[in-house]
Amino acid sequence: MSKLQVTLGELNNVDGSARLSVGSTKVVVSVTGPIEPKIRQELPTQASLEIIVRPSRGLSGTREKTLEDLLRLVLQAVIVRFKYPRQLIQIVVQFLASDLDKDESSSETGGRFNTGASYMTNELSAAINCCYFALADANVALHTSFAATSIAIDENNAPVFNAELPVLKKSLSHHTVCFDIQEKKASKILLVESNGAFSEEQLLSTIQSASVECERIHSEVQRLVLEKKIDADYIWSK
Amino acid sequence: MSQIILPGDSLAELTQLESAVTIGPGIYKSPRSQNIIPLHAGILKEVTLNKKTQEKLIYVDSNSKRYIPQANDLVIGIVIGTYSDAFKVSLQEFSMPVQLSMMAFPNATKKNRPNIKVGQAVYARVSEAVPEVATEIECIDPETGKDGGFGALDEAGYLFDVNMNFARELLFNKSSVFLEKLASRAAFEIAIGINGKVWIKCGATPDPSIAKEEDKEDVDMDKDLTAARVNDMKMTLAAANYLISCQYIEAAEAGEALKKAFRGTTKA
Repeated sequence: MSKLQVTLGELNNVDGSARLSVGSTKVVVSVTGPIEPKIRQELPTQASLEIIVRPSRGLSGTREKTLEDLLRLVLQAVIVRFKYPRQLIQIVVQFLASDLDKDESSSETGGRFNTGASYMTNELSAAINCCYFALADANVALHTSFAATSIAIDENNAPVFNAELPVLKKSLSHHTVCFDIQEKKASKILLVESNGAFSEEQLLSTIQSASVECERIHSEVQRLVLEKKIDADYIWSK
Repeated sequence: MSQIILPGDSLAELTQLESAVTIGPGIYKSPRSQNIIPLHAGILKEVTLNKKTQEKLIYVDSNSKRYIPQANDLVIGIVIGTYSDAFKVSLQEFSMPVQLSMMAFPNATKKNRPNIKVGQAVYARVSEAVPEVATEIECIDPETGKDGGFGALDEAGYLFDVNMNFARELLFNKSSVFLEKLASRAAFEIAIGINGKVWIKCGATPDPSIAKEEDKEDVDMDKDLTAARVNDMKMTLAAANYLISCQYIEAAEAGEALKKAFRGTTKA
């Protein structure tokens, strides 16, 4: 199981930012907001979200649009949007490296970078986790904490967390599961995105193991990183 | 009493007491579930308002870069435009501009308009902050009807940004050591906006325009004044550097930071 590594506030000119690396996926997320929206974005009673996903190389395409839509599903549910009526929260997800970069020249992808919407489970879970830190850094109001993980089910029916691309390709199915976390426990499912062939039983057991993993991410990574950040912010009160 | 809290953590222990609890910034009552939840990752603070009834105030204190106006906040804004009867004031880059009515000045009438130009900084109080409509600020003390320290800030001062949590500390914490330390080194005038903007001016050399009229023939005096003003500017910049560096150090290191920032300036 590869480790989540996070640094906060690396970008100075935005309200909040985080850099996260897990496995061979690296991502930077910036959050600006609540700011003045363009007129067409303005919603009278709640904040509008502008989510932009940029790939590690090349132009964004359908794959990035899919990621944007899935991220929007999660973020809409956790951001307290009624706190910021008529305002805009802008979230930019910039990938720095992904599995595909590493595997680009291999015969399996035929040297093609774009594989469509499949095999993006690692990117999706990394983006969701990174968004959590960036939103917390920007002090955007959140209903709950949340964490996501990516799980592949290999040929022996065993779950593999954050599997690398070759493992993903051989796996029977792979899933991205995002939980909201209340009182340090995974409580509600915010997102399940699956790919491949699987039975209901397999899916349920995957979600079960994902909930344990999300709780672990919350208690072992999120809590420590944010506690460190708050300590640094209030260093003068010591 | 303080502890670190994250969104999703429970406040049940604090809110389901028999005594009344007032919720402050960073805490929200979800309209759907009617639960009281923390919104930000920050330090949970409890203040006992009334010892007899054990009435409590709870809030989450956390640093942020984006300012959201609240009524009665003391802020520094920059005038970025004028309407027929109001100024358009920016409290922060890219945030919604706020309105400063020309009538919201002491002794202002339709004929006697305040003399403020675009680009000037003003110290003001947020008089109305409803998120759904445009925020309004005013440069008048509502109790006395006088200026009460509000109004345009002198251009001989220096305006700079600090973290918003640090601005709150400087403004509200009366036992904070940072300004006390600074006062031991230099005489200064300061305006702290809790939107993260601080204006500071050291020394009390007369304004150049006034000085010119009085000392037209006295060249030596003029030279002295210029030197004094340059020295004031140096001190002002040093004071600003000192306050900026204070954000990242412990209170005990304030003396050292002061020495470092004021290196090369003469004592006033």
